[in-house]
Amino acid sequence: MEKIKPDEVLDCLGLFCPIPILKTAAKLKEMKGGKVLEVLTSDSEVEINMPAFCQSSGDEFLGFESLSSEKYRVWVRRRTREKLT
Amino acid sequence: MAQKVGILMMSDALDKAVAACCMAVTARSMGHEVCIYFTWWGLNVIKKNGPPLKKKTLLQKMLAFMNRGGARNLPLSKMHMLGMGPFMMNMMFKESSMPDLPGWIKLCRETGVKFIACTTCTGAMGVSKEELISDIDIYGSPVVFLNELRDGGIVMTF
Repeated sequence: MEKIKPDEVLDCLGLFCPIPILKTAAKLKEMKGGKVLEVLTSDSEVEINMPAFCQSSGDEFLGFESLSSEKYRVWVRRRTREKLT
Repeated sequence: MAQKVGILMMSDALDKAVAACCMAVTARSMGHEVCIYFTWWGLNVIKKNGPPLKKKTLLQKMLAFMNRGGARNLPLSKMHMLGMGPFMMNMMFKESSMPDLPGWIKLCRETGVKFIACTTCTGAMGVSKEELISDIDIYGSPVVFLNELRDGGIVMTF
C-alpha cells in the first residue's frame, strides 16, 4: 500500500466505539478541507465503523492498517466543501 | 446526507438513557440534526438530582416520592440489584474511559442535540420546570416533536 502522509494524528487507543468516532468527528471539524487525519485506535471493527461514519459525514475514508491485535490505524481526508445540514 | 433524527425517550432506565444519548451524540457527529423528546418516565433523565417537592396534589407528591429522578439516581432495566447494578455499571464505564450518564448528557448539550421536555407529562405528573435541568431547549407537546420530523427522518424509541 502506498504510504499515506497524515497532517494530524489522533490517539484513541484504549477507547471503545463510538468514542473514537466522536473524537475523530470533533478533530475533523477543526481541520481544513483536504487535510488528512490519522486515527490510532484499539477498536478492531474500525475498518467497518470509520467508512460508515464517512459515508454520512461526507469525509473520505482513505485506508486501514492493522499494527497489532490491539492497535489499528485509519486515515480520513476532511471533506473539501461544507455540506448543507 | 444530513437527516433528522428524533429520539423518543420513554424510559428512565440508566442503560436505555445511556444508549439514547450515545445514539444522539453519534448521529450529531455524523452531521444529522437530532432531538430527544423526553416523556413519561423519560422525564426522570432530565430531572435535577434532588428535585423539590412543592405545589403538588397528594397523588403527585406520592408519585414524586416513588419516582425520584436525576441522571445520577436512575435504575437499570435489568440487574438493578437494589442499586448495586448501576453502581457497578458506573465503575465499569469509568474503567473503560466511557462517559457516565451525566457525561453523555453534557456531550449532548455540547454537540447541539435538542432537548424537548413533554409538557403533557409535566402537567399531568406535576413536574415543574424548576425540577428539570436548566438548559432544556423546548418545552412542548407531541406537536413540537412531530413538527421537528415533518420532513421525515429516523425515529428511535427508548
